[in-house]
Amino acid sequence: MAPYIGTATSRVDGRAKVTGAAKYAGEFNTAGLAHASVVTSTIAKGRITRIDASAALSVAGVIDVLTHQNRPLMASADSAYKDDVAPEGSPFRPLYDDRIRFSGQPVALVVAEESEIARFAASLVCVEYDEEAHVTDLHRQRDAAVALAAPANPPRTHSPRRGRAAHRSRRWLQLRCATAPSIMSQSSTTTRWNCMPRQ
Amino acid sequence: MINFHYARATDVADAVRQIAADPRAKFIAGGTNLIDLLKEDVERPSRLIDISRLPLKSVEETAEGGLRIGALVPNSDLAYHPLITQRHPMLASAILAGASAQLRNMATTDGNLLQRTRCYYFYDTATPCNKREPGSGCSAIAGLNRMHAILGASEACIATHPSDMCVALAALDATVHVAGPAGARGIAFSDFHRLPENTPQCDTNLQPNEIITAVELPARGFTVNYSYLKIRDRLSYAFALVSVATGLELEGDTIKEARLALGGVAHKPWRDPSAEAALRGQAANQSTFTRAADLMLRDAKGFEHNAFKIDLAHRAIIRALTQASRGTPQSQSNKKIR
Repeated sequence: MAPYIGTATSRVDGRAKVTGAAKYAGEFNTAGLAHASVVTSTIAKGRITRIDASAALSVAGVIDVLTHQNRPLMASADSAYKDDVAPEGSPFRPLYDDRIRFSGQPVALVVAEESEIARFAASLVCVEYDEEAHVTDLHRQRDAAVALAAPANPPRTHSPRRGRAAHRSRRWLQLRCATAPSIMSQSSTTTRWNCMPRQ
Repeated sequence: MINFHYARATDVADAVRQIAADPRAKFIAGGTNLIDLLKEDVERPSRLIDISRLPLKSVEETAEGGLRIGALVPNSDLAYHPLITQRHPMLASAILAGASAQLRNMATTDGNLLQRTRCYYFYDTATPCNKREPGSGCSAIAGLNRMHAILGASEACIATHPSDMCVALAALDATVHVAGPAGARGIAFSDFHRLPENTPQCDTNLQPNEIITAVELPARGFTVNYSYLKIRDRLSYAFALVSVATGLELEGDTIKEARLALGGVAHKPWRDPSAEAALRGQAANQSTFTRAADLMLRDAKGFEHNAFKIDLAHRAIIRALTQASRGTPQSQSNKKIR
């Protein structure tokens, strides 16, 4: 590990990516492969009142337009969507209902024989909304924040125990902090930028 | 992206003929900005006229000792061309400060001049934007405006021109050569890009159906005392918050000739004759540079998220002039600012 820390190290996929040799997900092809384009909400909060996909459906090569009105059956319970490390709250369910919870929320999925057709048809989908007032600045709303009902403990790992317990509970941490000789409390913000590629 | 027709131009006259025949047609060369705008539904041309094969790809010497850069020379070729690196290294430096290697390989001189602002609201067709739809309003003025203008803005628009190359071309007093139905003409670089005023939908003073054929550089290139300093949120692959292109001619410690242009702060590369006049004849020192920076920014006006640019620009001007006076231009590969 030591030789890598602090040095400029190329990514294993670096050469392939900068020379155009890397194959991205969208570049795989197979017979009968369909492509989709997502239509997203232009409001941050409110309800969808109407979706008109007729112009999109009439474009040659479009297979279907999925919305909350014609989507396949989806489970409604949170437990159906959560995994072991999911945070508190209800997980996002795409195209579940007519409620808009954030700007850019998927509201329709246009499926077509080619990606360009899907993208073009998506630009023809008309969505109307009942818009509600939204707040997107976390810091302005801090005083209205609601405490977590029951903070989750870290998940149990499957690795064999090595000496002491492999993890600690939040309760253990609270007890230790209460008796610590000194406590440093600090607030920091991290940038939304990071260097991890999506593909 | 809407359905569009695609056609190729065989020569400059043919290109002018084709674009004059269809008011909703647009030229395409490298497409590194236009294709994005098509995908975002910001530009909706009926027809793309491909000019990428026109014979406008050379860099030649002019009778006056300057250089004539063909409109279709790729940015990367231009940055590494011996005539440019030897005679106008400021231009090469500015080009290499921008975009990425892949983009520079595709992008052309023509397109670099005509690229459009990257204002988030211009790109978002769900928001009001006077540049995209005149009269609809400007979302940036009371919105997120970190990348926006501090000089020359209007109540209609506070967008900036994103090019690095253009800041150097402005400092070097380039001329833009165009051809159109009425014939050929040259446009001084300072007159090429417009201020937004109440017509933000017009980025440049190109007349309808005109095509850029070349950019001409005069003989004077500031080969020793120059710098292109770009300050941005990331070390690479990001637009300038503030950039400075500067060139000096020194006689001993005295400035005989000075050029100073700012990028990232206005609808066009920003030059101020009074700031340059305040440098000429003066000693190349901190107090001279400070005076020039004061003059350059005297009308600067910040918005909620970009007022920091005023002080940043002031410091960047002084730093760039210092680098130029010492003959130690900012490197675009070693990012440390000395």
